[in-house]
Amino acid sequence: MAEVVIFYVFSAVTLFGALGVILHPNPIICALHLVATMCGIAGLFFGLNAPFIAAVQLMVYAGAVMVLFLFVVMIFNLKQEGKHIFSPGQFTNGLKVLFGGMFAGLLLSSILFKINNFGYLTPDKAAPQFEVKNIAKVMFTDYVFSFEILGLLLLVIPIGTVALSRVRGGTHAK
Amino acid sequence: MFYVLLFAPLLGFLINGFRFRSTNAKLAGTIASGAILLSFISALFYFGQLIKMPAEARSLSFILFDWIQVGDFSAQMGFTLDPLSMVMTLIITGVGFLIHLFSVGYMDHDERPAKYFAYLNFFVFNMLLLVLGNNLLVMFVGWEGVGLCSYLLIGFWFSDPEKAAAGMKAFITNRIGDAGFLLGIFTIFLTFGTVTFTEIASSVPAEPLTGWTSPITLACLFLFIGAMGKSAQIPLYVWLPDAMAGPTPVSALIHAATMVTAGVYMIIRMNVLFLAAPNAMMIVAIVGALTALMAATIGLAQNDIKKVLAYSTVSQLGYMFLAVGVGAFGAGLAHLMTHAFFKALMFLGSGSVIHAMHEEQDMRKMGGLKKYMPITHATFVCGWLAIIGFPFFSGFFSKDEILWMSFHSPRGHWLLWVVGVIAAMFTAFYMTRLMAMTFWGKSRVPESIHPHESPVTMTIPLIVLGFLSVFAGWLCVPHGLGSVLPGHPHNFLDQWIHPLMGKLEMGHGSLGMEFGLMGVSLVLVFASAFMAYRFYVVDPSLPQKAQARVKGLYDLVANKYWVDEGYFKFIINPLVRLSRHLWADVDVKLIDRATYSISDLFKNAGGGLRMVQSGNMQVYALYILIGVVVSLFFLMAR
Amino acid sequence: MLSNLFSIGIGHYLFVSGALFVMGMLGVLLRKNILVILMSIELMLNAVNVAFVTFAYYLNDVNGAVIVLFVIAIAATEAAVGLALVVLLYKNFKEVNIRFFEHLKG
Repeated sequence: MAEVVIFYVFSAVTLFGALGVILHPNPIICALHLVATMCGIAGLFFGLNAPFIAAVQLMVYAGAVMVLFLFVVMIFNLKQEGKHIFSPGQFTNGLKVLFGGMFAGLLLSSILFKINNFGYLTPDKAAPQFEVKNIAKVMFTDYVFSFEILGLLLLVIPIGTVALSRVRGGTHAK
Repeated sequence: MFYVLLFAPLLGFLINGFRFRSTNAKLAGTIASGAILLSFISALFYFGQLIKMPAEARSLSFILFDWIQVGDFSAQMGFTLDPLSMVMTLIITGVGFLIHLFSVGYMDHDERPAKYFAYLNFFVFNMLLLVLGNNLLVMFVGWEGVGLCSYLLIGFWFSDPEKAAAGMKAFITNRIGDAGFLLGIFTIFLTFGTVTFTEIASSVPAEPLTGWTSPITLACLFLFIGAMGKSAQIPLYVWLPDAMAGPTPVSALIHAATMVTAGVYMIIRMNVLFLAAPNAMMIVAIVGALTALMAATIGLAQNDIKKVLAYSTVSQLGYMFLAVGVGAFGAGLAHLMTHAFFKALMFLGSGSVIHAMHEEQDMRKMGGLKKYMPITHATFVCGWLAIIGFPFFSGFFSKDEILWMSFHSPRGHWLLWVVGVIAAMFTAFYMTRLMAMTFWGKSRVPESIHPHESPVTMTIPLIVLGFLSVFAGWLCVPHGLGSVLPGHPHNFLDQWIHPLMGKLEMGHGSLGMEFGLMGVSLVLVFASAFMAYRFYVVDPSLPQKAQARVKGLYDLVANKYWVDEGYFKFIINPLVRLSRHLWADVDVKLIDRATYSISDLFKNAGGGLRMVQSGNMQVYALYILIGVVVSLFFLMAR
Repeated sequence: MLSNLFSIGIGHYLFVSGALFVMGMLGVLLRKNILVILMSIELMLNAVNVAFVTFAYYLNDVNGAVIVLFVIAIAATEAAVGLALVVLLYKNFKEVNIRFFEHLKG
């Protein structure tokens, strides 16, 4: 029963947060809604018996990425956008909604109609497959090359980011 | 050593070609003449080697590289030095060298001597390719190359539109022949599966094929069309007289001694094939005889010294084709050789005259030049005696052999002999007329011109060629004649090329008959020459009277039978009109409109699609989404 | 049908994942603020993460969890670069409306 409650609560938080992100006119509020979404997703991970990933999710997204977003929004002091939060263009927007709806219908209906066919998938709740030890074992054996590449990426990205956004003459220019 | 023989002229061409702006005629001429001399010395070296070999094995082959390998078809860039190509090589390089030497003096005052000598060397290179190639394709390369050089040199003074037009006329007329030549090559390849001369010769059936549509006959006729173009036979001879627009040494080298004989050489080279096609040979002989007669009659009424010689060349080429057409390949080659000597001599002599007369070519303004130009006159006399067939001069032997063969050969006919003798008679007349109007009689030279003898570089070639014109005939004394002359001289030339010739039973003609016919032709020739002398030296008013009496006939001949006009009226102008209609009606109104509308379609379609590229990133994302949705539909509907 | 509502299975999680993805997609398609578009991209990435973990859980396979970690790392770097670009754009043009940057016009 606990998992049912966890699922519904965190699903609601997630989807509500997502709606807030895409519908709220103020970017700061959007970012805050995104934080809520991230937290909801972390909860879903918890419900999926993956507490370690949930923790990473909270730290990286809610802790790091969202702070970044909020900083950017606040540095620029973005005002409320007013009534027009969506791109102009009735025809293209209609097409976007139409095809988005078709995509959603196809995706979600296929999940809904097949929902009973997955009964044979019974997770072994006692299995420790998402423990840190197991994840680390796979990551440093099977995925070691990808891991190294990722390390390189993480080295390159900060340099690139600094190079992109630096101000000539340092912070005291002008 | 062989590559020196072949590539020395090419090297000369490259050197002079790269310094084509040079105006130093002496230097350019020395380079060019040196290249040809080198080639000639190598040719002599190989001649010595060939003589040492046993008669049946006289053949040296040189393969440069494999040229084309496609399926069953293979052709090599290969060359053969056998007796036939040896003779041709010696003529080309030997006479070519003399003419180069002559050119040094002749082109002294020209503006672009380096270019001229470059072309001349390139011509010699291509001519060597033509005669040395061991298959039809290499020969064709040379064949086209000499055509190109001929075009370039005829139009060498291209600033004169008439001369440029003459070059184009030669080129286009040759194209018609070359198309035939190509068809001949294709037919031969289809029939025998090879284009190499030796392989063709060994796979020709032994029995002659009668009938008109056998592939061998067709191949021979196609090849002969090529020969018609290159060697100026009816109906494609019209370019050669106009080709006299080029510098005179060019006329001597290309349009008298070497290139125009390429057709004869080609038929001699393919003799085995032609012997297997009697009908084709008959056509060759008839065309040759008619050309000899027709050109000789036109030559009677020309006043331009070079035009007379040009028609004379056409006529003598007709003799050569008559010879090869009746199967007398040795006689054809003999006449080719002697003609190369005496006609080169006469062209160079006329060049000397023209040089002395300050580019005046009209014989009516000459006369009495004998005392101003003794060496030119003396050598010209040698050439004159040779061409009219004065006994024991070179032309006598070769022409007599041709006439006798046309009567006696199993492929010959007495009518061919009659036509040949009449042509010989006319030849004697017009050549005597040329001598009389140019060198003898009263001087009609305008006051402003002071003729003078040419410099030594121009007279030396004349003297050497004069010597050859007199004595070269002893290399090819006809068999019957040789048996009665003291020392019984053999027909060396005939024996020399005999291993390459196909079998044709000549039988033994009666010696009395041979001498009887020779006597008839000699009497007619002498009578005709004497008449010309009387007309143009003794009593210069006679020609006018004679012209008045046969006015219609004279006009016909003087206007060259209106052949050029006929070609214009019935072929060229209708073609031009047709092309004009094709251009204005078909090309502009139909094809252009179609292509334009197609291009407009794409242009408009592109303009329409341009709207899709709005630059709006979100719309691009929408396109991705549309693609995803459509793919999903397909995946799920499956 | 009601019983399905109370016995949570793979379908429920996938449904949430799908819905999240569609929302992120609509945000990318429709919003005009570049910052919000970046946030929507994060939404889509997280939707995929949810699907990954769901499959990993129900198939008893640890690989899904490992890939999620990779995705999180890459999403973080992507956000960093994206934000750097936004900073740059804003500094140069004082503008965050995506329709302002239509230089790919054909």
